[in-house]
Amino acid sequence: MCSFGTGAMPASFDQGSYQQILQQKQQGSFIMVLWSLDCPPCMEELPLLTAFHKQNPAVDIIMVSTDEPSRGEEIVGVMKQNRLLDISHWVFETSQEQRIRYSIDPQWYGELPRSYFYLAGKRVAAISGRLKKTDLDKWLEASSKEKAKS
Amino acid sequence: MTGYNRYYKACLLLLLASFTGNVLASGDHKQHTKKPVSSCDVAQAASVKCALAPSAVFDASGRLWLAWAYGGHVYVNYSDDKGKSFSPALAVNRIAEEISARGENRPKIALDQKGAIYVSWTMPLEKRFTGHIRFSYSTDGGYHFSEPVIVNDNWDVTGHRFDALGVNRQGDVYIAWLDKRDRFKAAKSGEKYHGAAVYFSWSDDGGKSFKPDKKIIDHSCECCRVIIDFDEKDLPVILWRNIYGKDVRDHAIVNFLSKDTPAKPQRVSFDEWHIDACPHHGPDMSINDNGDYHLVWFNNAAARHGLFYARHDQASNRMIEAVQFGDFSKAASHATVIHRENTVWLAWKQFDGKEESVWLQKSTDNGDSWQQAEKIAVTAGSADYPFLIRDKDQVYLQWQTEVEGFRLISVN
Repeated sequence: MCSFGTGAMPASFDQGSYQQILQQKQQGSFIMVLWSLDCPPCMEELPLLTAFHKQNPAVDIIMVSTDEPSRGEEIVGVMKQNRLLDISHWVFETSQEQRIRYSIDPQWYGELPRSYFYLAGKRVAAISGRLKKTDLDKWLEASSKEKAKS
Repeated sequence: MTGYNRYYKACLLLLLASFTGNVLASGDHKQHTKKPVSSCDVAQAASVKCALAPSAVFDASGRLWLAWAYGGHVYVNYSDDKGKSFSPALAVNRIAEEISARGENRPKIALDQKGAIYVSWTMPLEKRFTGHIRFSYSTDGGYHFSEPVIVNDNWDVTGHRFDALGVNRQGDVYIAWLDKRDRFKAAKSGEKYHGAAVYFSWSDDGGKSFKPDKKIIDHSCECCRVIIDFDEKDLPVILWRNIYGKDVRDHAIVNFLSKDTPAKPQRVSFDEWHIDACPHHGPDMSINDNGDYHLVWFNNAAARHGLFYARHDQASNRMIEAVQFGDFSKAASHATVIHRENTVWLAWKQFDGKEESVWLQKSTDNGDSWQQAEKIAVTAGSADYPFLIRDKDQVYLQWQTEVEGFRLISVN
């Protein structure tokens, strides 16, 4: 799985990446956040993710930027600034943008940020717009219960 | 080298090889583009193939004019054979600069009835979400363009972006844009300011000078295109996505009481899309000679979602109820609207998991009823937004695609 150290560029996210991630995660619980450098609410959301990640370092978060690959350094800079560099980072292969969106969710129209929550390999929520702390806490609680079950 | 860079370098070579104008392209400035939908192949001669997010318009003689960004320049070229071949591309800005060239925010081109050419674009600054509105004009058929100016009279390092350009029948040049000067000011005093504002400026001397900026509204959405058209009195009408209350992103419109005086903005969509996000999905508008506004937009509220058409009836001063169109399950998006007398055309993009397509729907009774939607174009690769443009009585679909390049398709 892609997990990058300081300075590493985001991995390329193409139309097959989403299925690959699902296969790799198998029955895992994780959060996938799609965002962009050109999206003010996405930037405003980052401090919440930073705090959440700090409090729950074991939670599997995947950040997918929908910016073009040439902005990789800028993406890394923002992640570094928000102390999120140690989680999994991807960037859209933008020439396939429509196909990638469709591969993730045909009902997602590109609004950002867009977040997907998974429990035991199943998508349990899709949220458009800036996440609230309650969204993350709700999933965390369910995830803990799921973990206890297994 | 990434695929994007390869594409970029290929474009540069092509432009250098074909350029006959007064300024050469520079590859030093990256485009703020989200999807480079045109694939540049050095073996192909037409440099318009490199165009990122082009805008197109017909002049009174039927010549098709294009504006597009590449390598830090806005280029203008034209076609006299409906997009089959193009003139060499001329750089509008002599010194390369950053240029926004993506779906919602692209260089614009408009002509007046005397043939003067007007071009506007957004120049992003170093700091994220900041920029200035740039403008240039040509009065000699595009051989020379004026030194570009910054239109917004506030030069704070904040957002002045998402320009909309329109020229009326009298030759008044209007530019409206999304502006964050008030947000910038609020932040300095520790106050919160939601979204952006809509500002405009205009010129009554062919773009030589612009009037002081005026604010139309506070709290617009921040990243959807703004649209300008002109009503039966030749006054501007501006349409944009607005923020209502805390987080409802519906649409607003403003007409003008005089050339310099906007009326009170009116809300035109009531889909109640509660979202604290960037939809990246702006509306479109076409106004007929009676002053009826044909409007299209996208919303994604749980109860009401998809593409919508509505008409504001000038005679009754009422909005007819919005109707939904396009296949929501096939990513129907980025609708465009145009009219000719009582005929109204809608076009939009869809994706079925395999290919991108453009669909068309027509009304012959001013938007009261609609014929069945038909697929009029497909492409195997990625694709830009579709645009409907008019050459006198003939309507065309303008569509930039990765595989085919610039396409101009006649619409019945």
